[in-house]
Amino acid sequence: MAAPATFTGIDTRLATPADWDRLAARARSLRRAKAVALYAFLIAVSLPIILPYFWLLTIAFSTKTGVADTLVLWRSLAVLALAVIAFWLAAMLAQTRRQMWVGVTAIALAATIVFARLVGPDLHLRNFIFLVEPDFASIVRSRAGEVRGAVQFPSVWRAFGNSTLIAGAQTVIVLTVAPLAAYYLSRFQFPARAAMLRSLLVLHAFPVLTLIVPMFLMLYWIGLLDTLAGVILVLVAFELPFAIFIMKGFFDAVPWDIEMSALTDGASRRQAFLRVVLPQVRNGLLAIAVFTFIRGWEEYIFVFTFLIRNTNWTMSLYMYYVRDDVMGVDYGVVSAVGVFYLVPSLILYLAAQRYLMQMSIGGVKG
Amino acid sequence: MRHWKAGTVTLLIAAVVNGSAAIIASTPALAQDTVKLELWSRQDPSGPLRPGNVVKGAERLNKELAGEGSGKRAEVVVHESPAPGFDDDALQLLKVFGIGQGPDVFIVAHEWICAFQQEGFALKLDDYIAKDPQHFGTIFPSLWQSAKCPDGIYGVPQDAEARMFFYNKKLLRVAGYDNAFIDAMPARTLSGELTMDELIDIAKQVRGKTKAQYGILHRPNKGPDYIMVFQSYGNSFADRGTGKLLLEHDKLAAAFGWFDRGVKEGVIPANNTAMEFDALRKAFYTGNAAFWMYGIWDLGTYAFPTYGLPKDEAAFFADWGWIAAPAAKRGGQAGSLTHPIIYAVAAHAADPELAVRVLGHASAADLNTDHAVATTHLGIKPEQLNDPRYAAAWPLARATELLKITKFLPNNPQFGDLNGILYTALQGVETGRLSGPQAADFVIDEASASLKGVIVK
Amino acid sequence: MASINELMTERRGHAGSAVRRRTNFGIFLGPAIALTVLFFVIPVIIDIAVSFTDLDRTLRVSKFTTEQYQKVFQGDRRLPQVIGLTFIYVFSTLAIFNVTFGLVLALTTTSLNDMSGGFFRGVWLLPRMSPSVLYILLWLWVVNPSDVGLLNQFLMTTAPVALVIIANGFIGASMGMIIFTAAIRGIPEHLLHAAEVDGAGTLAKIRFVTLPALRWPISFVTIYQTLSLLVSFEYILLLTKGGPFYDTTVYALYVYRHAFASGQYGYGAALALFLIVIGIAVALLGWRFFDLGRLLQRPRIEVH
Repeated sequence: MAAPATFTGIDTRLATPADWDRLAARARSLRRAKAVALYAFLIAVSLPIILPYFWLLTIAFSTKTGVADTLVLWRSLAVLALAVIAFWLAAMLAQTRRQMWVGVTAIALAATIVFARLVGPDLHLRNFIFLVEPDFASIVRSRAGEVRGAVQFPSVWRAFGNSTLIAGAQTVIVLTVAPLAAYYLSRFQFPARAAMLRSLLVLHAFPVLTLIVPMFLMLYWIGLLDTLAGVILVLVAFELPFAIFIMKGFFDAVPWDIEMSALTDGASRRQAFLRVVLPQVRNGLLAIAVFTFIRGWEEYIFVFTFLIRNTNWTMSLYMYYVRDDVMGVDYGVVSAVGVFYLVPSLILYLAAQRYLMQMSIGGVKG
Repeated sequence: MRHWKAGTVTLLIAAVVNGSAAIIASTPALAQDTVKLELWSRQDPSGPLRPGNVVKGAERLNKELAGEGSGKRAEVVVHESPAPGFDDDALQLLKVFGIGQGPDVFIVAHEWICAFQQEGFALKLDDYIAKDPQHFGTIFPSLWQSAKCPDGIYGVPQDAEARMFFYNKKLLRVAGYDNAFIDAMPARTLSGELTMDELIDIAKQVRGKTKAQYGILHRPNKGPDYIMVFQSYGNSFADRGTGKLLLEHDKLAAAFGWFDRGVKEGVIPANNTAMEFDALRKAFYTGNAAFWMYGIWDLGTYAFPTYGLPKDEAAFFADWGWIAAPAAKRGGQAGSLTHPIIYAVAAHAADPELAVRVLGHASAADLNTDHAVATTHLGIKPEQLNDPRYAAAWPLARATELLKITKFLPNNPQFGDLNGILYTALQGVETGRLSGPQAADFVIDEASASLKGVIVK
Repeated sequence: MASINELMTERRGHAGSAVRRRTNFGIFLGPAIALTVLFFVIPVIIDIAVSFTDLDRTLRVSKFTTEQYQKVFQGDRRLPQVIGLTFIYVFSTLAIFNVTFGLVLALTTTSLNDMSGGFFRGVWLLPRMSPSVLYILLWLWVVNPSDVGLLNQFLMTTAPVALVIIANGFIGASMGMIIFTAAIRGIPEHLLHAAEVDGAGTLAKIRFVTLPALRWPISFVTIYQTLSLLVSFEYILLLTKGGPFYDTTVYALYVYRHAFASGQYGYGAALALFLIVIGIAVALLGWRFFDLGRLLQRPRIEVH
């Protein structure tokens, strides 16, 4: 019964309610200090990431003469930071729910007004000219005189369509092939299983880009060179090991009972897989879909190498060449293209963020 | 891409016409035979009319063919390659030819033509050219040199240019030089009095006495402007007798040494090769650098339209100017570099004679002048000088003076690779990783290891 | 369990016909195997073949020779530097960012409340989720030498290797962060409570409860990221193109730049082969060393 509890310096046998209060207070302030330290640390290390992306956003919407100025960046950051601090304070000081909501709304309103006054006048959409005018490069460079025939960019929507096609097709194929293979590896025992699992890791060691010339030759021999299908298949193949690995982790986490009951009810393995197990790994499917799509979205080397005649522009190539051609003259347009390029990945990623955090490997817990 | 769409429309029209003509095919005079010629061109802001002129040339040829009563028609389909440079484009083209999918006509930088000739991808044009003196007869003889391989002519010159050191007179004045000195610089260079080292000295004074951040800038890729400097120090890169690549250690070391000195004196930025191209251009045209080693076409492509340099001749030369590449030593020979782009025909082309006739029309004086005037390149025929547009484009006239002392790159099939090695070594020297002699060693090592038949002295 | 085994035996009789088994194998594993063989195995075989030829930029082979290997062992002066740099790069990025910083991020963000933790994790996933061209463009702006750069050219000129390590590190840290977070979330609450009751402070909890639970994820991330770093160079290519001179040219980039970009495909094939061999060796060694075989547990059911 006698608990020494010497580490707090208080002999709990003789402790009074006041002593407990003191202990509790000390623990609370310690916790708060730790939280502050954690926040400070995380904010400090995250700034190198937040700043450039936010800068991209502000330049895209505000720069007029094509210079990458930072005025709008600092101003909007200041407003945002103050707003966040104010929110935090409100959350801390408010004593009732109602008070907190009132506080939050007031702060939001105030922040919006300040933002509109400070930053609003600088915002414009002119940098997004590339969305409607394919020959924007000539326009951008024709500051003092007419420039005829700058690099002839295709319509950005065509590049967008191509990228969507490539990334989408790749994702669909991976979503079909990977879960099948992962399920089999997860559930069935067969002679080559161990070797196959090991090969998943070994395949990751393949220096894909250094094998470009052999792949060029191979695609040529099977007649897939210069076709989008060839590029898509190559991309699928290189995403497969990772996707199978992740999916296997999700499958391993699904308890066997569900399948068993389905099988005892008379379903075949395939039906059990389709109707019963697959819905359970929805999060996994989402996770690899996101990774695969983004990989296809950023692809440029294969597109450039394997497409010869049918040089289909993709967003990655578009971004690369806009930067090459226009950047020194107009950061605004380049940023706008960058924002346009980033938005789809961003949307996907935000929508699927929760599910990404559930990825585990091997299904071993703890 | 616009040309692509135009080609598709023409295709559709041709298909319809062909289809209906097939029914009335009994009359030979009405039957049409459209030969499709694929033109491979690189997307290049300084040369949009290179493919454009071929398309127009085909239109003119078709009229001529109709006039002759022939049923043949030429149709040019343009394929634009997104390669970032002529070297990358040439490599891609070699691969494409290698798998047997080459185009019929292609545009290539002249030093690569013998690489195509060596593999049998390019067509020998001597006979075809002789048949069409009206179009080809008057092209400058020296330009034909750049399209020649050991056994004949393999390309039609499309343009020429000159490379030089632009300089900012305003900055030099602020740095303390008087107008007499500044205005005499071009003449002193041509006479061999102004040397490469004096260039560094002038730039150094500008750096020291003005707010300019940079002394001498050059472009951050392997576009061969810097070969001018190497040529000033005596490197010809090709053996006269055999045509093989020639590397002379001491001359290489001397040339690299100039860049080394430039960096050590603070005149050439050590990270020049890592800076953004547009940033460098902007630095010079906004008055932040004294010298800019580049070519005449930059005026038409960037300086006038984007940076607003004065288009009037007098106004321009009041504040800006250019000098040839100075000699290495007093009394030596100043120089310049001309890098012609050429049209070439594939060996397997469906109808070589038709293709060459199209090129003949594409090389018409007025079409060539369109290209020359729009992008400030030099023309290929003397009669272009009579064109009022050409005369009005004073940069061309003034730059033509440099043609008297200009040199070409050797037409060795491996020169493109050697150029890449030279650029890597240049980067090494500027960033301080290599000294001048070490850079020469590096070039000789790499070239001997990766290239065949290199003569080293 | 006995009843289940009976059931399984019964099931085996029903579903165990050889034809059905083989079709299942074909349907489930067929596509994956086909794609893998076609795009991994065959190119390697072609690569081996090419390395014994003199394939050049016109895709022509004129002879079979071992001169490429001779070049590798005798002629190439840059190789030692490139190999050394590769070691430094892989080890530093792995040790500082991918594993350590990924762990730190996972630990810190899970200590906060869900929303804040999620926010910071979201920020750190941003580099991984943005297209490579864009991510590197942002980096180039940050280290831009003109008046524009947020930082300045300091890193690019004085320590390009550091720049490359940091840029890749941000991407790698996010991968580790995801996996570690998932694993940390999987630790049963009662273990942590028990530790607290026993008097463990935060650090002690991490040391005695969290880290042991992360043993597998850490092993996996280490070996997986080592292979990734060994093999991929897109970010380096976009950022420095191999650096001032050969400063940031890692082995894979060296193969690409030296061979592919200049048309010496035969030489490149030979160099690539070495990389493949080393990669496979590292993968197999890592598998053995970290006992990953145990990690990827036996199948849930022994159905044949």
